[in-house]
Amino acid sequence: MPFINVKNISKIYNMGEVSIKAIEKISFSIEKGELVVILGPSGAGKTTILNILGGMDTVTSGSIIIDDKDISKYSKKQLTDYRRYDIGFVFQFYNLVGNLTALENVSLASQICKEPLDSLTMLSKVGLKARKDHFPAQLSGGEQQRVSIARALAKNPKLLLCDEPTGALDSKTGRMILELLQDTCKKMQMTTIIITHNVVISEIADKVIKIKNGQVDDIIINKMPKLVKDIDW
Amino acid sequence: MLLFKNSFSKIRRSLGRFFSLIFIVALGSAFFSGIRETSSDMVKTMDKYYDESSLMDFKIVSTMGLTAADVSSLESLNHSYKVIPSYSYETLIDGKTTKIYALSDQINKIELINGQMPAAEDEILVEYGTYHVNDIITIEEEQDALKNTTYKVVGEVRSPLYIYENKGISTVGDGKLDTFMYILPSNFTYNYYTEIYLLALGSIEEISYREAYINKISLLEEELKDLKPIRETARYEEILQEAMQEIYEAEEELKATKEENEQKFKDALTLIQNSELDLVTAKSDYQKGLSTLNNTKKQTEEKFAYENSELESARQKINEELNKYGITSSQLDSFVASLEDQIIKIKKVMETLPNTSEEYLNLEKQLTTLNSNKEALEQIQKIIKKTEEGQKKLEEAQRLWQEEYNKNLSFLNESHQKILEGENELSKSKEEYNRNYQTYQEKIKKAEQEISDAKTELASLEKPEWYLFNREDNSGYTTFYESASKVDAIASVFPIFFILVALLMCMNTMTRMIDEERSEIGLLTSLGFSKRKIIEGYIFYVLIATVIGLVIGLSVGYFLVPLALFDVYTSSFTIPPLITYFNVKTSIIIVLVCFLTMTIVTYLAANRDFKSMPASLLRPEAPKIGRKVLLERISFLWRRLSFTWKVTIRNLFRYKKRIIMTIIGISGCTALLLTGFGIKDSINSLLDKQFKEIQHYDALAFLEESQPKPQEEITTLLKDNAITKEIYVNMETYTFKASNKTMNTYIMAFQDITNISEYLQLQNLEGGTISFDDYGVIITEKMAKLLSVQKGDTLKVRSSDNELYVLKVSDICHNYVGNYIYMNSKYYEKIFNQSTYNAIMINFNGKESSTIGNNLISSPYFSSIQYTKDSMSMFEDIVDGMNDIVYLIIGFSTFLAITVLYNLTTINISERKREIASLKVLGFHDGEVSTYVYRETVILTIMGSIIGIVLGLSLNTFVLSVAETDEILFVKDIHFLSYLYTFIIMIIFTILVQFITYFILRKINMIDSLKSVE
Repeated sequence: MPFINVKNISKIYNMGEVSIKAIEKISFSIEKGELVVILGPSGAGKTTILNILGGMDTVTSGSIIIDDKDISKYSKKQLTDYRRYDIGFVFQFYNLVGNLTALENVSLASQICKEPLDSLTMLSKVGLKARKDHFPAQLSGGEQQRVSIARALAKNPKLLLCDEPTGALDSKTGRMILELLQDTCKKMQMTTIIITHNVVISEIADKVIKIKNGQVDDIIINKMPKLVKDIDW
Repeated sequence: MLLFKNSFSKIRRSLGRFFSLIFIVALGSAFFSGIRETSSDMVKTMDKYYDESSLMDFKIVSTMGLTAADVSSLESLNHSYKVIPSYSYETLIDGKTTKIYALSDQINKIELINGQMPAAEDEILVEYGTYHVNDIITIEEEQDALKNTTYKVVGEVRSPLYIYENKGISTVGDGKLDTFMYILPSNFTYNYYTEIYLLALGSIEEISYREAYINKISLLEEELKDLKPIRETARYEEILQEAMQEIYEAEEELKATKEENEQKFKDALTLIQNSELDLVTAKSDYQKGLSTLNNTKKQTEEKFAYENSELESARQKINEELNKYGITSSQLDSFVASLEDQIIKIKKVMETLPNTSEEYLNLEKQLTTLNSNKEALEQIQKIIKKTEEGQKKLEEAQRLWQEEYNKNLSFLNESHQKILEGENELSKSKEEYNRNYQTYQEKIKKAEQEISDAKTELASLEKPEWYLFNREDNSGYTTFYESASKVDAIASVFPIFFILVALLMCMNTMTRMIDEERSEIGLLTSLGFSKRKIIEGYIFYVLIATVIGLVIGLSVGYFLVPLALFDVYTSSFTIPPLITYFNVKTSIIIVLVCFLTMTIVTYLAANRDFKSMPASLLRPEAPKIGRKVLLERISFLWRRLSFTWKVTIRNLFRYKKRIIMTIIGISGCTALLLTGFGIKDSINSLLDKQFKEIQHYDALAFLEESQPKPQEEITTLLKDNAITKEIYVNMETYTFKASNKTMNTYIMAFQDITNISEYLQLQNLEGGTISFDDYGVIITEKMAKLLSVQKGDTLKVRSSDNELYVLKVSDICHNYVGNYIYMNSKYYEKIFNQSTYNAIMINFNGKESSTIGNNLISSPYFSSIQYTKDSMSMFEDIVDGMNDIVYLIIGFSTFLAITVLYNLTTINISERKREIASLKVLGFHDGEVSTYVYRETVILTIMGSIIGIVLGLSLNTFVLSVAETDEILFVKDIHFLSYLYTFIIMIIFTILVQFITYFILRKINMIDSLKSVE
């Protein structure tokens, strides 16, 4: 049994008389500790997949088994708990709480978890121990994203979901972030899903799920994923 | 055009925001225009009523009446428009002080509510609600002012002179006018006018109470003041002349009467004296007659006796002679006859015998003897005859005498009787004469006294004094204005507060809106729309909301609010229904102010964004840098706080503008609410404090006749009705002047103050008990304030007949309703020079008051009873009215509070939508997310409420001090419960608003967190 097993999920938005199929019969599976890239152009439905995997949206049909639990049957309350305890989320725009310091932002997430990791350790892991008392506005984009990653990791989640984590960053900083993600994935055996439209990023993944028009176009398994520093940006 | 279309679509997109703008504008303008206009509407309504009823501008009364000459000289004044002389008369009818007026269709025109106008002199109009048509009214007092004493009620009326419950002072009864009536002027029998009413030239065109009106009438007032001494002197001289004339006439008359009567009495006296003299003469005549008669009687009887004895002796002689012949007188005649026979026989014998015969000679000798015998006997016979004749004569004389004597005696007796009668009559006439004379003397003396009195009086005749009254002296007129100004005072404070809060909210809303639409502005700018066009779009949006808000607000404000507030005053005033006016001037001001401020606020908010270049506008606004707050320095405390708390605290300090606005908004609403409750507390506790704590007597029973000390019969009567420890009191209305206004005060002088605590609880301002002082009075707090006097100062009061008294203040006591002066008997007797008491203070001791009241009134000792509960219920009406204002304030404040809180929370949420969405993604529960947002609002609400309570305290004090009347002192402390209510209401609103926002929060889509920052 794979760690994540997505079976035939569809999401249909009913907009009055028209119903739009955001995704249709998507199936894939992800093993624990895998670094997966979900790749697709804008509007392909990758964000919908992310929302569903992240417990922010529900499916119209199909099932998603994560760590033996079918989250497609979850109630709103259960979904909140799922997000709370099982998911670490890295946003494209970091979404740090502006009024908390870097450390506090990390702790913010950890305080609602059952078995959080130490915030300061996490912050040191992303290399920002020295800036723990800085507010987001005082940090660069990359630093903010690193705090964001530290925040996601501190929750000690089962799954790390990253939504275009480098989308708002320049290539150099983006590379650093990807390195961090790949690193933590390997070191902490953290199942990580990166959603991006950037083909280059897919080179570092263990598995690439290509999405096109709401359906799985292709699933490529990289036997030898590249290291970040080796990819051509 | 496209931009305007855009504005409309904005409205559609954010209906909540649009409506909240409309609501704020409507609320602000309704409150502002409403409360502001109420006072003006009230004044205008009354002005119309005054104009229609030709309410007098001035009234002149004089201590000696007014004349036609006064009228014509008043008419000749430059600024007098109408001069209407009239009559009035005050009396007690059914124990009520009543002023009866001459009906006039020229001045102070009455309004007929029921029935019809009087057509006959015995018909009367009464105050609406007192008597009914066809009731009979009788004036019990003996009077010569009116032709009739019994009248039939033909109609019920309202008078512009009496629009208020309190009708002012009267010169009769308990000194307080109870009611009024109208009769035809021809009913009055005065030979002078009791009053003259005046209308000032042009005063009708001005609105009463306003400065223009006061200016107009003061022109006439100046003239009147100048005329006053002239007419007073003229009247004085007229009266002097009239009086002198009268005195002269009286003296003349007295003289004539004297002369006429003196002669009459003299004649009568002469008559009496004459008849007395006559009587004396008659008496002496009688005496004389009597003695003459007696003398005559004596003499006559002596004479008769003598004659009798003469006759007796003659008879004796006869008898002696006869004896010689041996006969008795009875034998005489026959003897003589026998002698004659013998002689004849002898003669015959002789004839036969010769003359010389012996025989013959014998015979002749015999014959001679016989003849001589016969002759002697015939002589005796003659003598006897004579004697008999004498006897007869004597007897006749005696009979005649006796007859005469009897006649004389009866005559004398008759005159004696007459004399007695005369004497009796005389003494009677004498008596009568004396009596009449005495009466006459007394009469003269009296007349003389009267004349001399009149002369003395005239010598000390004071100049008549004119009293000049204007509308300000009418308690209804002034009290009404005070009430209207009370609304005005509230109007001047509340709405400004209101508008301020409303503007703040609009500014907040618009700033937020423009912030939210930053990228749209950027887009439009980059598309080439000019800055002006874009701002115009926003201004258009705001102005649509403002216009709709103003239409709603002004309609409510001008037409509903005044009507609601006006109701308050109809309870104690008898006035026509309110006419609501649409005040164009104020409306324009409100509209302009709203348009202007809205435009400026919008412009400023929008302009801020235009300072940046279009390109940067397209980027998200740089987030505000978080900052450490002071609290963090206290690390042991800070460390203990959860992150949400930390965020809250940092947020509070990060968005200073919003905090200030929120606090101002919330504290404003809280202050308004607290003031509302505070006013309610003040006026409600007022009555309990006044009538249950301070003046806790049950009633004042007014005596039919003032008594110098407790009367046994009354005490018994009271005891029979379970009333003990009663206190005799003299209660009278006096006036005092403070800040150019004449105000009423009650003087209460107590005969005995031993049991005073059963009736009054007098506490000084420090809360201590007050005791009476023999050398001063205790006055009430409000009065002391009005006069600004303190312990030991003096104050001046005037009685209803304008006598001035100066009183020393020995202490000042707590009191809330009315102005009182209390004193003990010693000071009372000393100052007022009288020692009678006109009322008794009583407690019913839990017994049925009406039964006891009836028992007392039906006894001959009491004229009326004034129940404390009645006074209380009168004030309750006023209080109920004021409560209405309070509810209005509370209502408006509540609406405002909800709007403010709602607005602030939605703004807070919309500003942090992204943060909230992120938290949701991070797995925060809905409850946790809500707390994260509310906590700030709750803290701000609490802070705002606390500041608001402090603010409300001052606002309350301020509003109460402007709302206070001359008779009422508000209790300025706010109950603990009111603080609690205010606080709880604010908390409830907060919770309510949070409840709404909870749903807004739930609706926030987590997916928004994934979007780029707009």
